[in-house]
Amino acid sequence: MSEDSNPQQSLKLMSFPPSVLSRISPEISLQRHLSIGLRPNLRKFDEFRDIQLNDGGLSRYSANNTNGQSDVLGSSILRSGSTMVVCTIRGQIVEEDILGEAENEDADAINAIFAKELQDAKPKETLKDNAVIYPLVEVERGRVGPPTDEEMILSQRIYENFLHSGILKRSALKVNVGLKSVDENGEEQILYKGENDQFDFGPKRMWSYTLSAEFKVFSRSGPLYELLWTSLISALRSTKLPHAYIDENAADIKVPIKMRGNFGTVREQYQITCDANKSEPLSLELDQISYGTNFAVIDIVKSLETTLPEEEGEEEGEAMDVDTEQKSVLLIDIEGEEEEFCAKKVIQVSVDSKGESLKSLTLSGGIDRDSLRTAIQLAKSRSRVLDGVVN
Amino acid sequence: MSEIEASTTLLNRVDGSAKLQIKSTQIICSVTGPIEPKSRQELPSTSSLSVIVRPDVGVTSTREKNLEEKIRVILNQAIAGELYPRQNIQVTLQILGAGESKNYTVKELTGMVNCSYLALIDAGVALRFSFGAQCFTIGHDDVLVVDPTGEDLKISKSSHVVVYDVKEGKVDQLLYADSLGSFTEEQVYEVLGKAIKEVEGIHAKFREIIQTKVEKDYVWQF
Amino acid sequence: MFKGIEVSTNERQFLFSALKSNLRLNGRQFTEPRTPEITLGEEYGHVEVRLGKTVVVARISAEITAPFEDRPFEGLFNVTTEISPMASAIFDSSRQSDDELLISRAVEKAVRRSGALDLESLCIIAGSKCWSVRADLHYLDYDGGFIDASCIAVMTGLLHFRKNDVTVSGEQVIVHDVEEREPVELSVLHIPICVTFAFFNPEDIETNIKGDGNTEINIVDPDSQEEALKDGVLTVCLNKNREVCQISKAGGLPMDALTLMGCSHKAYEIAAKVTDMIRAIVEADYKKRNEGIQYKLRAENDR
Repeated sequence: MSEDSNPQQSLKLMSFPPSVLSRISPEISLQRHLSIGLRPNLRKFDEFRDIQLNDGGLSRYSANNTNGQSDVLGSSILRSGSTMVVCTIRGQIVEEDILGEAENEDADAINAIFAKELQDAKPKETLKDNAVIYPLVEVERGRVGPPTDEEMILSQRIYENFLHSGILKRSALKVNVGLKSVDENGEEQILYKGENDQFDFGPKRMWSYTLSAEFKVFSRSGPLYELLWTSLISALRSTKLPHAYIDENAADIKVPIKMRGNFGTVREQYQITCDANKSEPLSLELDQISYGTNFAVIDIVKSLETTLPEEEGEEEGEAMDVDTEQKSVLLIDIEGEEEEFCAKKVIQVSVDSKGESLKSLTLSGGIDRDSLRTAIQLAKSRSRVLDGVVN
Repeated sequence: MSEIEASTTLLNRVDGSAKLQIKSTQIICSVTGPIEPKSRQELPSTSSLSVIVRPDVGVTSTREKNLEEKIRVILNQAIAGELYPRQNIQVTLQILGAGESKNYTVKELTGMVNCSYLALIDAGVALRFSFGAQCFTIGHDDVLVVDPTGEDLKISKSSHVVVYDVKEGKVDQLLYADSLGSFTEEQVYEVLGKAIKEVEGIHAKFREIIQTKVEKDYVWQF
Repeated sequence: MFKGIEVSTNERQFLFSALKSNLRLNGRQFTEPRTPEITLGEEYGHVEVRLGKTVVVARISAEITAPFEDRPFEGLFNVTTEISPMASAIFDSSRQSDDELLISRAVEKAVRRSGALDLESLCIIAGSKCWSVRADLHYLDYDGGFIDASCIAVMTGLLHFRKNDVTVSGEQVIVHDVEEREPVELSVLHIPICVTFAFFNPEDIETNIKGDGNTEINIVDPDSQEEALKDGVLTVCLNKNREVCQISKAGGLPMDALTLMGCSHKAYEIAAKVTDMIRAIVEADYKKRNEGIQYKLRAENDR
């Protein structure tokens, strides 16, 4: 701002409507709004956006399924403000590497010789049992192209937080493989473990599901991570995993081959098929579920306040003149270009559904202890509210 | 106090470089700038910052993109960008030894932040303040471990990285903090409090390194 | 060679007149290569190679994957060569330049396609499990000779690398920890070494008539300035058994067939020397590590 005593007299003031000002100078626009106690999106400083959730009927197991036999196993549609997130969960069956520790007679013997002492001494690895999910984020921006940095970073954050949260355990993704067989009467039937106590199933191989989550974001306004996470949790809660079986006749085929004088056998992959009728819900570690909230700490800049045009109202102008200290405000649930652009001090917190333990916390840019305390308290209550919405 | 080995001015074709080793984590960083930016990078009133992170093994993936973003957030606060409007500062970080499994990034992030500080100083890029980073883990027994090893990480309940800015040898403000895992509010404050002393210690070490460097740089004067 | 390194006319003329009087600006003889400095890291397969100011780091790693369907008996071996702006600001991180491509191709051909690594030895269970070995090259500083240095780095890395021992029991593969069982080395069949020559024609290109009046100059192992000003380049890749694995002459001055022979002879001497050096370094490192292990074993036996 100019140092002159009264620059307005010699210069003609330019004025813009708020929507234009917010684009040319988001900082000034935000400061003006905050100085009259409002946010550009007309929310209060500590007001959250409402979140609406439904399963969208995209999943094949959804009650209001409109999509026939789709390959989507779980879905959710989340609306918050103008933002809409569509999350779909798909799955694939992969054969697991049988590790040295696996249940196998030979392996037991070998482990006993080589690794017993070592394993007893080693404490358990925290992430060993945690399953991963492969997220793919797509923010609609009116054109196609390679993923943007934002999309890649969002995917990675979801991946990391999911892995470390322990919401899903590896054991929950194991496929209970059934065997399709034809009995004496020529009738086909599929046998699963557990259904029949006598049933002992041959192959020492293991299969497990790999889940991928696809996010599509429409009319983005503000940071997305928290919304994506909530929609993921919601989608996973609706996810069901189909049963799968292998055909008795197609199992265990060995194909001899010869190459460059070497002989060997190539083991044919088992044909594993998903059961169209039977499924079971994905079992999640419910007490590990968390919800995220973001906050921005914005400093009120004195020099921008005082340049308010006079017609803004005398009372407010005076009230601000009294308060000469530079202060900062804590904005909850960042929304809109101005807030996102100006948010240099950001707090992102994830709290579990009980509002007790924290799951992730990211602070950037000179956050003071008081703001942090307030933010964590608010995030805790927010998490309990969101848990209610998702359920 | 963690054992840091660092040296600066190693590379010939960049403006500043530094190599840093904390336990088995080894990072080399180069800074080129201010240079002419690509037109899409150009910012009218401040410098743009491009950060490139390259893994020691394997191809660059989203994991590195995420790290780049974290480092960009930290460095953007420190670099006095208004001195280099419409210019670009390029920070390239090469991980030579990760010292942790692919599921974690704390040790690498800590090393890279510290290494980029030394490289920026070496390149003579104007900084608003000094800064330093330290990482922590909290195990299942709720014991806080400063500067954990890769093995500590594997058995930890939560991992934390804290970056403070340093003015006159004293910690001033919190630049960045990142925590992942399962932890309580009190543990956050404990980590943030503990980090103050740690970062000051690291900074004191950096001062020595920079002092040695400056003495070497101007040796021709005597 | 690289767009972006601009060399002034004065420098150009200075270099040319120096070459005409049998001198190189870096003080080397025409046939004198830089001696590589090879440092092995603490981890297996971590190699740093310095060729003058050029610094290249190679990291070798291995994991178990499924082999290609059409090659069930073979493991996988990949070399990645991505040059970051750390080496020089001329290397753009977002897109690969032609020179970068040329370097990766040359390295790929030299070490992968020449069959330096025995891929069949990487097979664990035919058709379902094999080792996938990858070499990641990191270029830290640039002063010419990227191809030569990369080749040395990868080959040293492969010789130095040890993969975990595995036991196959039925369909199961058990990977043994380093502490359980001594890791095993890779089977390296031969050590190809690249030697680069730069050609200069101090006269104008038009007067470059082959024959008696040929004033062409060739020098071994050009540095970055010589690379930037050269009129032609030749990379010969061969091993100690006098087998040529690759000859790459991409554009530039047309070349006399006899010069090619001469260069190959020179390259052989250099390659032989470098091979011995690599072997000696890897062996010394192995011995050093082994001493430690024997000591450890002895301590256990006493108990």
